[in-house]
Amino acid sequence: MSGLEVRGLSVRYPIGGLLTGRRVLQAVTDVSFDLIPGQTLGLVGESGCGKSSVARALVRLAPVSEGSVIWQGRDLAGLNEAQFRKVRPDIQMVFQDPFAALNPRMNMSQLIAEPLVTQNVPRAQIDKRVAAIVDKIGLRPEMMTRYPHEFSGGQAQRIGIARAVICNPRVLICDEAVSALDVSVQALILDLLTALQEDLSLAMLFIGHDLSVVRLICDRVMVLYLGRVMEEGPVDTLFDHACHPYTQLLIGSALSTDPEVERGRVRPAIRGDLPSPMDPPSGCVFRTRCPLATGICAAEVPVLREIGGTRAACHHAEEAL
Amino acid sequence: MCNIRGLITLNLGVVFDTGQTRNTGQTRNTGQTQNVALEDVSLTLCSGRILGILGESGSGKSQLARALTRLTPGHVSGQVMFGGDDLLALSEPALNAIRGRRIAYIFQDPMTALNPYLRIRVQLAEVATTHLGLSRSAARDRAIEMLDLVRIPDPQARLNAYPHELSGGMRQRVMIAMALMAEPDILIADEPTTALDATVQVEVLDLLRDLCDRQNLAMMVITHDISVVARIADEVLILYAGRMAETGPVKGVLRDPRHPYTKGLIDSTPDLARRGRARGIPGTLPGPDAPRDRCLYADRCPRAEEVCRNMQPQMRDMGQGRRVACHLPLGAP
Repeated sequence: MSGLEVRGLSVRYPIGGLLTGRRVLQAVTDVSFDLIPGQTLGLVGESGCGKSSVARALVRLAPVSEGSVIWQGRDLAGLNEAQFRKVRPDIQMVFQDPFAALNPRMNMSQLIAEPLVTQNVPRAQIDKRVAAIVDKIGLRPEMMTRYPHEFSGGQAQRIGIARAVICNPRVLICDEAVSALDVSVQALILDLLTALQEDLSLAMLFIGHDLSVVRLICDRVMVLYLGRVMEEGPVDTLFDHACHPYTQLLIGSALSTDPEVERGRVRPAIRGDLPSPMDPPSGCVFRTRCPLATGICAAEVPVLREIGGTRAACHHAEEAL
Repeated sequence: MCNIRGLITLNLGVVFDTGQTRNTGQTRNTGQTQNVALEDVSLTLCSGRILGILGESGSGKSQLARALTRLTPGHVSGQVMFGGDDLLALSEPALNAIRGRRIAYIFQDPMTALNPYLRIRVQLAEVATTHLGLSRSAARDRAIEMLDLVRIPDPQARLNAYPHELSGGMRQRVMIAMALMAEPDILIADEPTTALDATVQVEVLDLLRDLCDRQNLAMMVITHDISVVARIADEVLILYAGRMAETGPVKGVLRDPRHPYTKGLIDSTPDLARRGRARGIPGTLPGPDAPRDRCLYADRCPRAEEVCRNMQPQMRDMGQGRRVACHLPLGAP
């Protein structure tokens, strides 16, 4: 069972221009992980931590500046456009805002068929496959002629998911795929994703900012901060025994729906704001906001190492645990 | 809703005119019809208390915030009693003296609510010169005082910043500071932390709670997120399809819901502290042209019976300050 192997991935965006001079924004630095069939890896972190850049780099919507993306023995980063197009059906993506992701001028059947049309699948097959997927995705055949504005958010996201899975992908990337939905619908879409994963044995990358959703759906979780991996491990170990101060802070910031739990609970204070990714701190990028930071944190970049049941990049992880 | 005399009491309805009705898939002009956005919603805001308005998209929660001071383009009916006046009956100039001065707003996205061309100093001072008639230097002093109050470090230096130079959390603090510049009695916050990261969200929520207590503000916090209500609100009002579903003290309602929709919402929300799967609510919100002489939640409700589809449930008293609009409430004998 081979999955998608990401090794040493870095993403850099050139920014600036005539007046400011060309500079480089380092969005992702040296990120490695495996996406395994039937399993879900969660990618979490605050806005600007590089989680969407990682996802986009896997499907060439962002540049792979360094590192490799190995799929079935080949490095996707080295493929030319024509070669990449051939493997593209294997790796599909579901986006956050279904109304932004769906062409408002196409009806449901056109929208779901589009990926197959792009792949030059014969027309007779297309109709059959569209009909099959519509049933699987929890939509009704009589909706086929409706346009995106006639759907609710949850229904529109089901169409987005149908588009992603109709080419029988092996890898599914969900970039905040349930964040824009009402909670009553969110849970149903999560169930749908889980069912599809089992059915198709999908390797999933699930990007989310809501830790309680991530805990529900993921097998492993990776925590990013300013483009670097802070901690990574099995979902329960990471949530119950996090050893990186940043992971602990993120978990401590997640609110509960129980007023009894919430009242009087003192939340961990975080110092200051996220530093500019244009000018990240030396050494450990989290040190400017970390309660445990000392001299070594400014001097040396901590390497990811096994501590407890997870891997963490922190000089003081033993104390934090 | 609270024992002390309410600062503002209202009973509201909002409808929108639509020029056309849809009929058998074809659109044809049949003259005026109306879409109901909000129906018979009544509530009271009290000084030093936070009322959480909880609802999903289409619940009418934002319409409620806007209808309060007639900021919605829809037709507002009912009354909003504040300081002996009905705000809905006031002239536009009289209402303008209340908007922003006595009743202030904070919206979801601070980046679109702030003017990107003007320094923070100018935008803050404008509120004080307009509403309080302060001089420029007095307005500046008050701006510094307010930035300090919302815990912005080094407020003097921040005064000269443009909105884009501040982080999302800082911008929302500036919005709160701006709302407080004219010393309002009532603060309406519409999804105040939805655009913020979790680490910042907690700080801003705790700041709002603290300001409510210290400044004795009456606050209405509108949100789709149960945990926001759990964290800072005293009472909660749950809206569904423009109608009140349930209301009462936060602890009672969220720990022991009476309305099946409230329970559905709670069970749908994943919680790190409460393991187990989240269950969603199948079905969708009734459309704007659906019949309203019934329980609007009935088609999604696991408890629904014949009566729910035939008769609209009225709000009824459940004791301990709790009210629910349901024919077959949970926990009832």
